[in-house]
Amino acid sequence: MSTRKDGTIQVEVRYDEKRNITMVDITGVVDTGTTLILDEKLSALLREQRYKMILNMEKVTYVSSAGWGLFISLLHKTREHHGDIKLASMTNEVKNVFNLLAFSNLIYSYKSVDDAIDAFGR
Amino acid sequence: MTSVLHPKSRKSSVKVELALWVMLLLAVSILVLTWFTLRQEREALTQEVTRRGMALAQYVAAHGQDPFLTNDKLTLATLVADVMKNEDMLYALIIDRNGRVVASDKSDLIGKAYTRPRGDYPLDRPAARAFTWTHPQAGRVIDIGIPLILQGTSKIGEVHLGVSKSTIDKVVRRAWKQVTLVAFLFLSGGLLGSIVLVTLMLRPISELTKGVEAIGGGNLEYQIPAMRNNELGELAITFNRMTLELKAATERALEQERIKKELQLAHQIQQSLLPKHTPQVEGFSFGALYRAAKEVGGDYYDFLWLDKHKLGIAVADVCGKGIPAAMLMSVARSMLKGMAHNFSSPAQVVKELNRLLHSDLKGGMFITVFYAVLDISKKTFTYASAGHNPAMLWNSTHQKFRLLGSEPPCLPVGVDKGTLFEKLLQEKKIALTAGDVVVLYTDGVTEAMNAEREEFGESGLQAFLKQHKSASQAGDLMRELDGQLTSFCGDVPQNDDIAAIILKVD
Repeated sequence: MSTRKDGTIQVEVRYDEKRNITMVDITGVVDTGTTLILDEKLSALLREQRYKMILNMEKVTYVSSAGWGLFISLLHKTREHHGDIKLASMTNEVKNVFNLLAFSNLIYSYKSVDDAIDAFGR
Repeated sequence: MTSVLHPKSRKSSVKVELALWVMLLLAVSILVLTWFTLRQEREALTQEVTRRGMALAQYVAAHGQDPFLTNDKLTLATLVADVMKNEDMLYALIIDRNGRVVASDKSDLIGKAYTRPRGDYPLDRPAARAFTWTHPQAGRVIDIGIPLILQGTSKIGEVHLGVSKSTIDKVVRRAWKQVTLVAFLFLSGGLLGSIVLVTLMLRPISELTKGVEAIGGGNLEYQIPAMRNNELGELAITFNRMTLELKAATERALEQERIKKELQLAHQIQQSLLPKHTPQVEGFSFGALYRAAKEVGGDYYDFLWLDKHKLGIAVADVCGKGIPAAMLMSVARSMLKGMAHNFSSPAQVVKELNRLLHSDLKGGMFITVFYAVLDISKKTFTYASAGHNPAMLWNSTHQKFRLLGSEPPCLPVGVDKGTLFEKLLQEKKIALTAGDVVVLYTDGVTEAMNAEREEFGESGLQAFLKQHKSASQAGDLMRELDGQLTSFCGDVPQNDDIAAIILKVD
């Protein structure tokens, strides 16, 4: 049996202005309720035309289908503007679902935020 | 109860009661004030009359001493007559040291013994004194007595003047009468005035009462007319605000009730879309479970007879939950039913489903689908999984579990227009033998959480199957699983939709 944290979320945004990359540090769970909060934050970034995003998933213990839906939607929107989203540092629990949904075929994921930054640089 | 049912009679009684109390207070105040004033007046008048009486007595004493000694009765009679000219003078008399009347306004008393009023005593001091007594005919009388003193030492007689108090009483009585009349007129006017005043004051209350009655009757549009800027005016403003808030709250409650009813209806519709019974097939038994986290859910399961020997079995999970998920689920269900009858291959059915749905799905929505075809006669199970949890097989022959999924995994339906999806989607076939159990489920089963925030998990499902492998019917197994999930979660509210199918080979 695995355990997961309470249904809360914290989102912090950092900017790498030199490379024009936005890093979003997410803490908690991304479920039906918290997806709305995350959606608001990420939509605001899109309005600021920040189309290159790295979602730091290191402290995310669970992502529901609604959360994955949000990431897929974000993926389409950023790619429309020649940007991308990259997932970094997924925990095993989250990675398992990511793999089950075969999203590795759509979204690039990296072991660390630095790897994701490097990938944008290439 | 009567007063509550008859507010009007209560209102008028308040009016009269208030007016009467005001009047009673006023009347008592007037009476007490008048009584004190008149008592003071009476005392002042008594003092004045006494003072005047004493002056007269001293006059008689001063001028009567010599005639008294010389027994000049004429001069004494003149003195007495002079004194008697004063208003209210009842009697005037001079007595000698033996108590015999020497001069009097009543000539028949002269030479006779003086009868003192009861309680009076011979004067033993040189000063004048006043003594009040009650005359049988003239009423209350002030007797002014003063001794006649010879050469400042020995008393030779007494002068007594009787001054009637009737004038004082008359003045006081008249004053009482006047005060009573004025008070009566004043109180009558006051009573009328206070009734008018109270009526005017109570008018806002009657407006408020009207308002309460209107609202009680269900008219939440009612607003009390503007009033003066006082406490009642404030009450009216508060009342109007309360009415508006009540109206808003009622509308909100109605809206919520409407939404609740619609959700109940949606729940009924969704229930009607799910199979009413599990298939009755020789050699197999089936169990099914569906529990939405909200009124409606995004999970789906179905049994579809494709022909006499082939049974389509589907379990799907729409991302998210609630109404959007339920709507998409009902669309997907119709499409799947159509496709299932057109294509015998499960992979083909799922591919067609993806092709149809992809163009309609926006904003990252997707559906994970596990679709299988069970061949009853050949006992084969052919399946395709699009991003769905792998089904769990309990292989009775080898006494072990096997996950029936896609390796590598395939994307869920709706995220890719076709090329990648169709490349990833696989179809697999397994043969089933007696005692095998297949569980198809959505993540609501394995992610069901208890109070310690632990998930039921695949391990929980496997432990359950091991524990109940002797159960002969899939329906019994499903009931057991449902009970185990319920007791596992305890009081923790269900977070996700749950759908599951159990298939057991006899």
